[in-house]
Amino acid sequence: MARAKKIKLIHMYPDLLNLYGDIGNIITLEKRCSWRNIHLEVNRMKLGKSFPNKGDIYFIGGGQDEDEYEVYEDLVKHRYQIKRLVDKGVVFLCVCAGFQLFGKYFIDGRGRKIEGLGILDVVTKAPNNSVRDRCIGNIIVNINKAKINKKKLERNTLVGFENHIGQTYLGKKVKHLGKVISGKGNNSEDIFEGAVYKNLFASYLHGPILSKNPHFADYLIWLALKRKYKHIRKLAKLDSKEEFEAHDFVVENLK
Amino acid sequence: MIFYIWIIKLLSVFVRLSGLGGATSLPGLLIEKFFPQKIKKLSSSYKKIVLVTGTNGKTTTQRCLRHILEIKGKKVVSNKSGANLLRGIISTLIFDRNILGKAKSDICIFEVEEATMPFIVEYLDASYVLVTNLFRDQLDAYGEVSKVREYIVNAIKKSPKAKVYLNKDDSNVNSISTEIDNEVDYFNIRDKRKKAIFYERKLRRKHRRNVDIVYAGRIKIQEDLSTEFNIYLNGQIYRNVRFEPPGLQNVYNAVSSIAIASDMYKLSKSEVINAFSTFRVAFGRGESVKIGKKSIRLLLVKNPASLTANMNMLLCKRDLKLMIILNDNIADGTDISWIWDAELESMSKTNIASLTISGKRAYDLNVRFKYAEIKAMSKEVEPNISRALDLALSKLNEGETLFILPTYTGMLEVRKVIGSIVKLSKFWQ
Repeated sequence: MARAKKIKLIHMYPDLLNLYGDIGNIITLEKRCSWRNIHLEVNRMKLGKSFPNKGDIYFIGGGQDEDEYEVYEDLVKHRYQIKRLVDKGVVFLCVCAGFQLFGKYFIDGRGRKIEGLGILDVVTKAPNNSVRDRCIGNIIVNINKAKINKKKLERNTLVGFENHIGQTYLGKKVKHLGKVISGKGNNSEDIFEGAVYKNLFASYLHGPILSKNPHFADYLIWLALKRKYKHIRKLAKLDSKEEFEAHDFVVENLK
Repeated sequence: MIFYIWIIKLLSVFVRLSGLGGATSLPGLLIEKFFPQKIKKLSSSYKKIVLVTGTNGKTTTQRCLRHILEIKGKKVVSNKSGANLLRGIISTLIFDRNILGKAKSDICIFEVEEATMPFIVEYLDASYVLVTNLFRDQLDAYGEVSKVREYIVNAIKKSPKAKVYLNKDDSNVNSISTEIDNEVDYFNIRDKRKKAIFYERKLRRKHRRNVDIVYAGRIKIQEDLSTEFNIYLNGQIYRNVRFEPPGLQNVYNAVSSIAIASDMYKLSKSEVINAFSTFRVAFGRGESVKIGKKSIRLLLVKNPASLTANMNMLLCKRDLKLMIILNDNIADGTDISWIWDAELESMSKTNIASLTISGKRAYDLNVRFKYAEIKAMSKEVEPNISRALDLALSKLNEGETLFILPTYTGMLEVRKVIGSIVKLSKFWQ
């Protein structure tokens, strides 16, 4: 038997950005790797420490407003290292606040403009106390197949739960992760959800996104393995009956 | 004033007779909408007003405090059955008036939804504010822990005369003391097992120096999950107190309610022991029902903290027969991502004899259990609650108990199904 493959996951600021069940993304990656005899090492990145640049997958999730500012101040210090990794094609998954922080800027509810990492060509604006634009509820999107380039994807949809006031708009240098079938997506105007740039995937989907979309979780694992072990062809198949039952339930019943 | 009370009483009788429901909130809705200026008047005649808030334990604490005061011979009014928003509280005040418009009770105890706190203090002058704990709850409805904490702090600031009781073990509750000028007392439990409660990470680091602490120690959890413990209060020790509500988490509710009760009135040892041993659990908070020779025990789960606490408590049991119901209606929280925040990973080695997963989002819960690698000798996934209950009961031998952990609307639904088999008390009574 071949030696067990190893990949490293960096969970960015788990002490601060840990809302809405996003820890489920880490649990999903851990289990889907271990069930395939792939060893996933999870490193928890902390505020004020040096940047761990040996990761194969980086995950950043959603948090409370005040924690986002704290994270932001730390994150900008690592801007160039992060940009270099993204440009090299390292896998990143940025959810909710993570999505916003990787963009060009964010204008908060009080009108303050906060510069983002500028890695994603997106901008986010929080409307003033506007409930009208609050994006909240179950969401179903059609995957942008031009960006998730895999011949056999078990489903063409991503499902999850969105909950954000910030309205995000895509620039020319990024593509959408999916088109909204039901729900709001990046903002309450256009039909796009998430953003993709190289192997960086950003989304507003909680649920958590990977637990409800095992095909997407596997895609990220596959991308990370392919970068590290060049010869890899495909992932061992897992029985994902329960996961797809949950996925299909949302697609069929919660439109 | 009497005029309004009459009209509203009549209306509620009509609603109740017409079978539309318990009418617990309707009168409040009317007053709130049409005569908001009357509310302050309704509350001003009471000797003491207690507000109980926080994520978990509000109902049990409120009921327990009421029970102690009633044993002491006091007349108490409190809101019931989760009518803990502004209108439910106002309704309670109206129902406490006799036909002459006079208040029937001396003391008010209200459990108050956290986000309602800033509004309610505009209408009531609280004598006590009790904060049970702050966990992530229905994040889609009330926002983040820090926001909820801010609601509570602001409400306390508007009640300068209130004496505040804070859970010392929850650092986000404990630290509220640094932001207020009120008189503060603390309560906690001294037991190593409280680690498994997984309080939220500290938002702020400062704590005010703790002066008085009321606490429970030497806690024993019995076979039927009830507890026995000592209470240490102002130099007094109440030994071997027996308390029916299940598990460690409920001991906090016992301690905090005795702390307030004894601040109001001098209580003898026998009164305390008697009050606790005669206290019965609330609707859905560990209540037991017999169906022939089989039993059902209902334990409400609302959020990651209560799911974790209840699972931890139950998984110690051998041959556990468990049913879990996850709904995503507004009262449950429409975002069910929270099931991933429950600390179930540590339970992966335990083995459940029979597991039934039900509710609108049964499939999501099934995935959560798959990833926690919780093993079950037999497992059924059936979203329909009535069919699921049949399945779960069929796995039960005579003399055994089925533990049901439902979310709020799941509990209403499963109680209805159980109620069609055996008689249950109506929840608004």
